[in-house]
Amino acid sequence: MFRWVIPTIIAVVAGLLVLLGYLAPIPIFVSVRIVLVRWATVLAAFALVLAYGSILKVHIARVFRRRIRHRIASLILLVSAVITLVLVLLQGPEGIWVQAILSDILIPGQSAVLALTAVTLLLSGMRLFTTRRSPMAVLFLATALLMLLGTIPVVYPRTVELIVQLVDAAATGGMRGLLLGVSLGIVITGLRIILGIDRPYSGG
Amino acid sequence: MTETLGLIVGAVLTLMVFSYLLGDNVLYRWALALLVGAAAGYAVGVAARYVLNDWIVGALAAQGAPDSLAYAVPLVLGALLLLKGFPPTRFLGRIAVIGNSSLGYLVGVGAAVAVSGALVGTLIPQVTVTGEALRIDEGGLAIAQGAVVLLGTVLGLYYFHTRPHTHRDAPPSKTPVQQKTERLGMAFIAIALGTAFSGALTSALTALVLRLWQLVELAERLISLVAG
Amino acid sequence: MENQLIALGLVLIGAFALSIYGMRQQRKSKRARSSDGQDGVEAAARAERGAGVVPAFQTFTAEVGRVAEAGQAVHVALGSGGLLSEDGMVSIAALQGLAALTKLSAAYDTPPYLTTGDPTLYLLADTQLRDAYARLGTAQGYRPGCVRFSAPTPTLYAAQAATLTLDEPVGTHINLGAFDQEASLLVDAAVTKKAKLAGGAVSPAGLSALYPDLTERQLIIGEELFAGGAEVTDRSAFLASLAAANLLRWLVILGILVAAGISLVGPLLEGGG
Repeated sequence: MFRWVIPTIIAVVAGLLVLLGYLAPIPIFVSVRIVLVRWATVLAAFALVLAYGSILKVHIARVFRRRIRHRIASLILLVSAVITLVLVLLQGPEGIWVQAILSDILIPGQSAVLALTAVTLLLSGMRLFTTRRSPMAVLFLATALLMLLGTIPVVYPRTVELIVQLVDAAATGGMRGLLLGVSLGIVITGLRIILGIDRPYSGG
Repeated sequence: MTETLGLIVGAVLTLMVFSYLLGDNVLYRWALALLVGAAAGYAVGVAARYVLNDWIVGALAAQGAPDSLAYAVPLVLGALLLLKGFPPTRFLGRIAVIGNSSLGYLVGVGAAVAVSGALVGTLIPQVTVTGEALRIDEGGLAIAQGAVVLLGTVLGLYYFHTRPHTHRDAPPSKTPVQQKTERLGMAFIAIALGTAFSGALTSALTALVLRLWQLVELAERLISLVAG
Repeated sequence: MENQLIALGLVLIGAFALSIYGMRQQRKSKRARSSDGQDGVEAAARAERGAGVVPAFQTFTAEVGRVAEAGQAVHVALGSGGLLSEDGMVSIAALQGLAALTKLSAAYDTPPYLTTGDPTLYLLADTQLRDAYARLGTAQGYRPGCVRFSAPTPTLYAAQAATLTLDEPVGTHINLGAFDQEASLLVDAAVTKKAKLAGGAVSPAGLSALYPDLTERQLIIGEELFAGGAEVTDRSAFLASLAAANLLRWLVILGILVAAGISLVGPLLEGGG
């Protein structure tokens, strides 16, 4: 009963009402949809509390486990997580200390981690022909190099410019094919849930 | 002064993160732990304030049954969801299955949001824009580009065409034309991925240059401070 | 308004196709079972052979046995696709593609590490693994620490989840779900650890980060990710989904061609008029 019957009824009813609220131009459905989506954001907030608890549990266990590497890192994570939470609760997201954490720690830190991907992507690109030796891999690399060259502000001969424009069009086409395929997958997966055929919330 | 201090903190953190380029090490791990902890604390703090201020306080102040119900339903579903945090060895963990209802609600609403978003936000606009790219009144190159985009989209989409069959049947064989069409579709996708790779690399390099530039800026500021 | 009505029409066609193909597929499966009297074990064996649509999904279950023998574990990075976003369906499809892996892992009691960058996805992954143990009657054996919420932003998630691959005895690393270029950090950790790689993504940036390190048989590209359920289970609903998606695909292609035709002919007609 609680495993899948009630959850399925809830998922189907909520899903249908929200879908109608988005696609059927009737005001009552739109109002219901707004309320239901707002409720879902509250549930997402509860999920975040649980997920936060999971982070704390994992790292508390690591701090107290012997013969384990990076215990201090786990301790730093715990202290940082608790202090930031307390500050946000006390001051709110606009508080001076919270803003300092955002602008002096989180923004530069995340940007630095993103910058690391420049190196990991380059290394990965260099390994391309060790895993793939196919015409498609050649096409992948040639396109990547051509597009990178295209970002350099140099005046290229007309033929090269023409090639770049046509490759760009081919890339746009390929990406649209990819995105449209994914959209179809999303629609079908979503419909399976809304029709109650799929029940991932009860363990699949 | 506070601004300089902030810059120093950001710069030290950047250098600690960049130390990963020399291999996995404690400095990188400490920086990452600090960032993950701060991000998690910030996110949960904002979420907790939202629930507390907008919903719990609202529920306490609600007047009339419909109003109270509108506040109570998500809070009750949220409370049921919290049962999922208990391990199965505890009593509350054993009844965690009750939380499936809350998860069902999230999945149901999420499915509807995703379906409408995919259709109205991606599928229909992409179909329209792909068709409209082919315009006869805009010159030779524009027609060629439009035709290539159209071909790439249709073949890229065709590449994912599957031939579903039950497990006991042998998969239906493909005709040579189908095989060639699929390979052409794959070629368009490989070109798209190559372009995406260069885009990802460019954005990462931009982030790298920005971080390095900030280090230089800090050095200049410190030098000017020391020099008076 | 016009787009919403077209979308509603597509939803109705999709739902109708799913129901019709589903019923047809179910009848076919029933006939097949009654004709050769196959029992559940044989059906499971058939499911392991897969539908042959996306072979990469088949390698997942093989990895469970391999890493268990070597005393290692599988790390599945599920990405940051939250249930309330479009990527939520990507995450759900990824978990369906991993259904056989989680069931087999629970049976061997060698649970995989599942990491997520979204709290709602964390709960769904936890429910799937918890249920896999419960179905075997060993609910008490479930270890909650195996499913981890790593960080709330995609970049930090990838960096933090990569440390799990480096720290734990991970023999196979699977990236499956909603990723962008941050997937490169996870791949780098797996390559450093010399772990076997597999997986897929749906975004061009995420796929491009996986493409150089994963072979053709290891990489799941875009829409293929949604075929996981059909590949690893014997459920007729999943096979019906593939057929319904094909029907919608032809409608989309037709729509593109009609739009192109109107775009081409329109100026000529205007000129003639």
